[in-house]
Amino acid sequence: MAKMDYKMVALCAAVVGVIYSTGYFVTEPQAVVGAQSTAPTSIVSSTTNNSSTAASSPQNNSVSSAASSQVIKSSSTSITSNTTTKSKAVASQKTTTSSTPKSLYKDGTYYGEGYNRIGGIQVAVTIKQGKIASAEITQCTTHYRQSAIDPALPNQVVARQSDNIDFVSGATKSSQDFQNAVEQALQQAMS
Amino acid sequence: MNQIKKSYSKSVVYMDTVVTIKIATSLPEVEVNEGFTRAFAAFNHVQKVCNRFDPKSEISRLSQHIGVAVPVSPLLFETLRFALEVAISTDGVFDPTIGHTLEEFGFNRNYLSHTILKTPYSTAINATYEDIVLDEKNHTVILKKPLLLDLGAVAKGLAVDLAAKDLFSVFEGFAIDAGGDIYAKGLNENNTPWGIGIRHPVEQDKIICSLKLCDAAICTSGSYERRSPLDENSHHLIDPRTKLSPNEVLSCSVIAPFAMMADAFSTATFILGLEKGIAKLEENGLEGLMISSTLDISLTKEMSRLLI
Repeated sequence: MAKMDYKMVALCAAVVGVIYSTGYFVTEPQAVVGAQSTAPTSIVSSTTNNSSTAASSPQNNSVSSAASSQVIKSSSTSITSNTTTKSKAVASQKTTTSSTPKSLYKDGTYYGEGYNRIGGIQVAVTIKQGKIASAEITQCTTHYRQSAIDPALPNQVVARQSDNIDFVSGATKSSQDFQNAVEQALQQAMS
Repeated sequence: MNQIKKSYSKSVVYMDTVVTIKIATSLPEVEVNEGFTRAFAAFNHVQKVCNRFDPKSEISRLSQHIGVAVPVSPLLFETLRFALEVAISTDGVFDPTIGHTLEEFGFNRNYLSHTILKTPYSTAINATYEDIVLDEKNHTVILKKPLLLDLGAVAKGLAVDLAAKDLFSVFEGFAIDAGGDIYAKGLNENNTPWGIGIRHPVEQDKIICSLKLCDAAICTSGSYERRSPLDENSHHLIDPRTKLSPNEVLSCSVIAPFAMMADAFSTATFILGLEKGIAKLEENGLEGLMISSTLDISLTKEMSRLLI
């Protein structure tokens, strides 16, 4: 076995170590995005000891479909934003706590996106003087009616000053995507 | 002694990529959720610093100051340090100053705001990694010429390594997948090594081969992932020496102890091509495989042991 280039490995260890120990902000938990992965490598079915001898053959549809479903499958443990932030951050000097501190958000406009298998939503969240001024849906590339959630959900975001929206019955996926998108945007506004 | 392990999964989009983290553990769900929060924070932070499509990111702002010493954050400084080491080690085949050329080829769209970036630099300027100077004592960076820094090749890997470091001491097993940059630790919930599939470069809903990964990272660079919207012969992997996209290799996968290292080397070996690429990997003691345009697979010496 060829000897590893330890200099390069040691450098990586040092780089990662330094960056990690200088810390970075821990932000609020984010919701789930159930999006189709187009990754060139992906984590396949965890039961690698059965039927995977055929894995090397690209013709084996059962393996590839198992793999792709594993990748597509989004979490059943969806984390909603109203769970209290457990910000026991590791090696982070400044943590955002669960009670909203003043000026949590920096002024500006931030974009977020939420997807499911059939499309997605893009939002632009504008922060003015530290508060959410608007959460506009800038793109809606799904087939469901945008009016089912617009302007109801954007209005809720402003009224509640958070992404903790009520899901619209009959438009669950869009509500979820909208929430994911707003959460992503707010996360950038916080960092 | 055999505690029940469960598997948890969460996906979020960062750096124009779906990032999926799976945790296999017997620890309670509340700890898993905390783990997810911390791990994804790493991605958010790296994106904030290294996203060249965001004019407010640290890397973009650095690119706007030519000829002066600019103090930078530890993350940017250390990542540049690493990028330069790889550039030196590969004689410039891997080069973080590739940003301008990438922009010329049309890779210029911010994936969140969808605004197009157009950097006002003369196309005649030929900058290389040698035009980046790091000052250790003052933690500053000098860009000797106008150039566009692109850390795309290492930023994702770095984020994976940071997230992995965070989860490492807490969970028995986990796998982080950032669009093909993967780190897997320990075992999955069935107590077997994490299985990784390598996407078929042509029939893209199929897997061409699978391997077992335990306490290691893998990264795959493929020309099929992002093609240039301006030139049909070009894709996002560009040889800095010729400014062309090589087409001998379709896909290159590298296994390394760190995702950042796997990331940088998969880019470099892709550009080096089949023969020099495999040789480069073996020279550095890394395992990997390369898929040619004729779909022949070349392996490094020990790689076959890892294939399923």
